[in-house]
Amino acid sequence: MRKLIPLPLWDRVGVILLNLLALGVVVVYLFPMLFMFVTAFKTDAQMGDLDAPVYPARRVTVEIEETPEPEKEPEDAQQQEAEAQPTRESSCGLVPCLSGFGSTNSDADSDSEKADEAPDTPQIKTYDVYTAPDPFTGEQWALIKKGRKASTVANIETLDAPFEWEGQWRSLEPVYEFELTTSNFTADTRFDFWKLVGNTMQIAIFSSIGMVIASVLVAYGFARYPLPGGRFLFFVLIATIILPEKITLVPTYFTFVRVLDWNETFLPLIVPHLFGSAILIFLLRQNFMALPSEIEQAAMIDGAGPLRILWSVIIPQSIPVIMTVLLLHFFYAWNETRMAVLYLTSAQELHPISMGSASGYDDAGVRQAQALMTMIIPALLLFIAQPVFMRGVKVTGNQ
Amino acid sequence: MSLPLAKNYFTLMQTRTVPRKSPSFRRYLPGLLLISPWLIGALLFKFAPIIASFTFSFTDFMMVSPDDIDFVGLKNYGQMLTDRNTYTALFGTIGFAGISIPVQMTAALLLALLFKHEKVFGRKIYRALIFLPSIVPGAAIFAVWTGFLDPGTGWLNQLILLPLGFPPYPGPNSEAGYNFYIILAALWSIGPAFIIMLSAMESVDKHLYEAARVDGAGPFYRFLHITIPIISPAIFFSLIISVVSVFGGAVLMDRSTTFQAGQSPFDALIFRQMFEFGRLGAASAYAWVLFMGVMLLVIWLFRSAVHWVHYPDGEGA
Repeated sequence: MRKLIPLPLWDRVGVILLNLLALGVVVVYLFPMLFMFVTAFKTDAQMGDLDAPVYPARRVTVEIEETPEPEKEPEDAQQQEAEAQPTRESSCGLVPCLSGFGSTNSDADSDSEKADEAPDTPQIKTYDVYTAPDPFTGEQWALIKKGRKASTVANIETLDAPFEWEGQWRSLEPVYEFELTTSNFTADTRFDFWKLVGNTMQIAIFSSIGMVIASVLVAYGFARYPLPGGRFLFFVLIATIILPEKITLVPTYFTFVRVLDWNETFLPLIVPHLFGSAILIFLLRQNFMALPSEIEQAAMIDGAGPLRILWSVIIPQSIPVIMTVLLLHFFYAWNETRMAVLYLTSAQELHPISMGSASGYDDAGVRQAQALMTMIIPALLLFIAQPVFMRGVKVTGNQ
Repeated sequence: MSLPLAKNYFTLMQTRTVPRKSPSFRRYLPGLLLISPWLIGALLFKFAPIIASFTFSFTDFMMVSPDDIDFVGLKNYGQMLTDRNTYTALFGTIGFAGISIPVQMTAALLLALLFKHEKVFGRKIYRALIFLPSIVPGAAIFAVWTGFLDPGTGWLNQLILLPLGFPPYPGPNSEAGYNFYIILAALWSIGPAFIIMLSAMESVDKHLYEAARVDGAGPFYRFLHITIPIISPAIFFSLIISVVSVFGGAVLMDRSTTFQAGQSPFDALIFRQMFEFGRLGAASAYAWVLFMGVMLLVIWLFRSAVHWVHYPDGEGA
């Protein structure tokens, strides 16, 4: 078709449409990931606030310095005043300034607090800021006194002239300001990032290296050497891939915990991988078989043994697939939780990071922040290794 | 191709060392030594446990009293058959597999088709980005979906469905809502399948497409008659991974906590017997039934593969 009617314009439009489609698909696909990021930077208060915008934000408040009417019980209040003095010094008086999220003042709690304060010293009160009901004026009001029918409000530009506004204050829209909070990343003291990474690294590195060495050897054996009942053995290999894990779970668990006493050690998470992984052996074998065999034969005539040939002929030609297999297993080991839960639950100090981030901290923001921290290292690896990851890896070819 | 090559090695080796005593053992020795790590591992961690598990399933083996085991015959199996939970879990698992496997396969294939196109700029970055959700830890994924799908504050309703004028998502507690949740969660785990299919598609000889195009074959025809047959082993490979993962294995990815509430209810059943009641015997019986079911399914898949999986050198599966 293209040969007959060369339409460069149509081609260009097609390419643009194709790229828009690709971009759209990626954006939609990663949308929940955006949710993770945004949630990780939201405060707990915003999560419970139904009016809050979708982006991380906090309620804008304004502080007003005012002298309240004198009240009783001065002795008690004097003490509190002395403690609170330094913070007042740093506050910003009549200038609208920002303070903590959702620090609503007018509810019963803060009122009773204020009653305890000293009588004649000027004190700072914090008020929420709302958009004025007529949006065209662009005014923002500080809600000073909430009432059922009418509330006292003040324009935040002037603040010194509060006036009565007739209307329901709940119908006003609060003003929010974009702000990232990083407290979620440090909130959970049990989530000791470096300790967890250290544990996970021990598990992932030992099991990945052992797994790769064993898998390369086994795959090379399957690809190039005669075996008794070779096709049958290979079928058994495939069969072990498709074994449901539960069938081996009971005896393995019993042996590891009761016989070998490996409970609360990393061994149950590492040792089974030192014997190679069937699915990765399969991937490696398919790729070894696709390599041309002339160099190997030449090397063999020169008297090189199997390991020598593997090391200096096969492996140099198979770096991408070996890297791929290494990464796949590393990602697996990094996020592995089911075995970790089985053997390490009671040993808090041995938890890998995948368990640390599942520690049940019941705050959505903290949870997503921990998930992001858990992902940092695998994600970096993925993007660094992206040029070789799964490039030209074959699953085709004879079985 | 493997066999002739192996024969060459054999003859080469024979010329160097003349075998006298047991020629066949000598011939197999290097291969056996090389695969011995896997062989030992499989015996220790696969076959021995399978047989042990089979034996346990006829006993009243309890976690707390491992020294006091009695043979109870088929009691565990009988109890399983009379338990109503078994059937709920079984149908739940089958329904879950019936939705998530086709969704995953189709999505991975279509995405691979889109991102293998040379005219898509930055497709190397896209490839990593599509894989990225597959390394999100399972616990976080569950939190992502519960937050994202929340009927009141979730992004799905707030940012997508309601602004576009669709009816709001009712939350994962209704039947349709649950199925939708399963589909979304399955879509977010396609990383390995996607990468495998993409890699296979990129290895297809471009001359084939060129030739077909000259002969007047349209894109759909080319996809159906060139791409699909050539990458069929990759599709088959991904399918097997998908099937095994759905039925409670961990292949290439661990998503155990993703669906703790929902996925593979049969798994949950086994776990309950094992850790809540400590009844290892009963748990083994349940696991054996699951094992037989998955094995039958996989054997059927391998048999069907003869008809639709295409191997270039004519050797079947």
